[in-house]
Amino acid sequence: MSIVSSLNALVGSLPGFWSPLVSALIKVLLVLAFVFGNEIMLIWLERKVCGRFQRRKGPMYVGRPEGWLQSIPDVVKLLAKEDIIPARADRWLFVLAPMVIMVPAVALFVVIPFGRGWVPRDLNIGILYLVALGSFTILSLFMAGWGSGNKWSTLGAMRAVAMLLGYEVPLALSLVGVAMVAGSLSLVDIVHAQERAWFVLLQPIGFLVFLVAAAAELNRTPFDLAEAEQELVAGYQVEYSGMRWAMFFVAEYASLMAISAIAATCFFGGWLGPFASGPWWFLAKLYFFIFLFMWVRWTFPRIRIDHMMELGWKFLLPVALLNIVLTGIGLAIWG
Amino acid sequence: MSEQGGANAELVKESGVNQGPGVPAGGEDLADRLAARLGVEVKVSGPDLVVEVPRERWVEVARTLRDDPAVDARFFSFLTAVDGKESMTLVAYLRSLSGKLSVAMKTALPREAPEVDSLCGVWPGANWHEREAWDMFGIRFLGHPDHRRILLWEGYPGHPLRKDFADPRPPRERVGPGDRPALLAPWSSTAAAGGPPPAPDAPFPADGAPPAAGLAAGTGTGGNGSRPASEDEGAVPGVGEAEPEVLEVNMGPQHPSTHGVLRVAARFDGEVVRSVDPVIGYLHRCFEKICEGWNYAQIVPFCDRNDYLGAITNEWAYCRAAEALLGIEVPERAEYLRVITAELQRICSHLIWFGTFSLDMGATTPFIYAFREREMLYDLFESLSGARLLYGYLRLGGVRNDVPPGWFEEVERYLRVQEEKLKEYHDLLIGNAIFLSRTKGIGAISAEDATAYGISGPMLRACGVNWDLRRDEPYSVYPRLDFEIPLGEVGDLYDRCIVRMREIEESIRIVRQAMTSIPEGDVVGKVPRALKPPAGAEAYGRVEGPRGEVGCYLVSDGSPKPWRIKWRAPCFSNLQPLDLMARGYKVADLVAIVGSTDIVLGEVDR
Repeated sequence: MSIVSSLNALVGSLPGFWSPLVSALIKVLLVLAFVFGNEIMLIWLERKVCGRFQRRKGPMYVGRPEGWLQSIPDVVKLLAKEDIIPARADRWLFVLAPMVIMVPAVALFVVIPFGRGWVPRDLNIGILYLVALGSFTILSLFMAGWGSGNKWSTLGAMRAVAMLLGYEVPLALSLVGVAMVAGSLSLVDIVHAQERAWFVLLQPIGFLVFLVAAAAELNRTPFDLAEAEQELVAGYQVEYSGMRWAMFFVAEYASLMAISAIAATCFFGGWLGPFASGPWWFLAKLYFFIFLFMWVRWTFPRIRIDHMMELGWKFLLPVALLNIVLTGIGLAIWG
Repeated sequence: MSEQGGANAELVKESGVNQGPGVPAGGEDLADRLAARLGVEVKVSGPDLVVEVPRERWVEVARTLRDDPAVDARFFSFLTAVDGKESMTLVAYLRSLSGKLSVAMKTALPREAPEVDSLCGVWPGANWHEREAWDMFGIRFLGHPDHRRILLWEGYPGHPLRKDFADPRPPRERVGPGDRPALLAPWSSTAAAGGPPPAPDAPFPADGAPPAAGLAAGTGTGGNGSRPASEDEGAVPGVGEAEPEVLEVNMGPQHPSTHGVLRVAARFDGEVVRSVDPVIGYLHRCFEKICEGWNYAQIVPFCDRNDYLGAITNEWAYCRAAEALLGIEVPERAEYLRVITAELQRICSHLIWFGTFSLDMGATTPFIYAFREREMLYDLFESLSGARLLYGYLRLGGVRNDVPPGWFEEVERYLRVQEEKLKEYHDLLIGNAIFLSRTKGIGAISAEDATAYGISGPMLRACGVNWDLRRDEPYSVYPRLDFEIPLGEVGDLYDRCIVRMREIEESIRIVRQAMTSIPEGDVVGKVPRALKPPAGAEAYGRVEGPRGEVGCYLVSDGSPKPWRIKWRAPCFSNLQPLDLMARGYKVADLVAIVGSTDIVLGEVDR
């Protein structure tokens, strides 16, 4: 806490115009450092987790023990690769898509409270902001799929858009219940509201709906339909290689972290713990969800697109609505 | 759901271990009655009936054989030709699954411009086989709906299995020990797009020339074999006019889920499959032509390379044909070893199928689990034969060597592990709700269609057709062993999966029984030094491979080399009705359906 307060004091002492600018810049740098620092470890973690599930060892040699530096030579390799833009691609869309996809993935962290007072910007419309930015990803996927000028990637883009409609509505509705109980859209307020009981206990149905919809938002197995290596080769990213491809990859892991952070914040009490509350609790919960999503990914087969739509529209949506009704009744009785 | 095998054990004991059961009792009668009824010559040759038909009556007799309840030949096994010295002989192998009877229908055609009516109206499965006969022998099939080449590309000069075929390539210079072989000219896209071919190889067509004029009109305007190098990315030749709302794509030949170099020219309407056209031949190496240049004993290891996941059963099919031609006896111990290795091979192949099918479903982990057990099997095969994939273990008259000491104990250890792990596969994948929703009711094919297309093996049994060569045309020591034939009900992806998984269990039972009852003795019989079958002799040896009926049709001219060898590849027939199975399903289902056929392109393309 002392670092934050002394930093605040330092920034506050700057002349009027510069103070907010420098403070924002520092926060952006801190968030980026957090995201990309964890990212390197996450990619390594996924490979190790996947390896262990599959009776393999995963990376072992670069960075002993257990190859924890493997991601760095990977990045170097990707940077050294030839930059290929297909002749039939829509150049602008093709080049912009991997940049655009980074925006929502990183910007989601703006409203995430890492600890008490450790929040880049406590927006009073936090949840609305999350939902709005989350669906922004689709723009980039469609740009990539359409702009590649490849039939497989177009199919992938079509799937991505169709899926978005299927999971985004239940996802938003599942967070409505949280906002109703907390009485606020701000994520800091939501965490404070969980001091007596985590919302996973008060909103179990909402949590399950959120979990399934979030897995779909992450585009990971069993919902990796837009990518679907075995069906659409690699879907929207089939024409991407080298660093452009790596940006999709990085964004995917940034989203994984963001979604896990939202789950930890909205349902598992954020930085609150049974004892010694603090950012370490937030980190532990974050990694618990990351592991959960990895576990799911390496266990299940892929769902089919029409089953996915049925799941979203015919099951998750009514259940999420039911959850809102039940929450309303509960609030009317006990609230 | 299943029936006991080995019911007719005594029948086989009488006729010896090596031969099949022979024509069922009353075969001579049936032959006489057929001859009288059809007015054609009917002979009994080994276990099969041979019907000689004049060319004009080819289709009519075929229809009678199919519809006559006494014959009931609904199963179309294969069709091929033999280029004799004076005339061309067209051979179609048919089977009655109810009567357990195989019928070879033959007709003589002139060598110059041979023509005959197409059998596609009788058995739709004749389609690809007739295309292959056109491709390899230049036989025209009148009324064929899709008269294109199939394994070679349009514009290929000549028909390679004809005896008057001249290799269009200039003879290669012989390379001495110290010489560096001449490098091929670098590949260039301009050359591939229409310029002269860069390599001194057979001409490589840029845009497939239409088949010779005067053919029955098909969709053969595009080049079946036109390779992707010469074609527009994503364009599908030969599937008709482009429609605005239909997406025409090539799935393959480079695609993660085609299990090899298969190209599926598909038309999608959004996510729905409108039609698919499997394009094969990318792995064609003219195995049959190559074999004509080698003597009978040398061919065995070539057979491994056809279905490289079922090497033992390939060798066995060839050995059965060649041993029948040459009259070689196989000692009993060798027969047992053949059964044991073939069943281990079946387990191995089904494991790979399970792994790759789970990959097609998007589940990556079961793949590794299946390969873990397969690794143990490969170690066993390695200690037995020295090789891990292509064993060359069978020899004419037996097997190459006896088992090393302690090998049976190792096998037993493996079988225990495998039984345990089968439960794990069910827990991990087969019981999964997503897996069930992806497989139940998907890609089904009816029993009638399956037999008419000549589908065999687990795919046929998944449709509920109770047919297994090991029990119904018993060979080797199978009649002495007690095993069940797992059957499905509707023939969808789930049934195919369950049938294969249960076949693993049955194979485990067979291996156990064979290991306990194997007698001592030699592993190679008496094989004459000069292997020369009588001129004009022919034999069709077949065994139940992991993918279905693996067959080898051999014709001898009395020389040490076969005059003609035809490989009956189960995958070729199993892949053919892909359109029938996949039409109307989703793109994801198409991938799963291709996976469920368990194709090995080395065998499809030969």
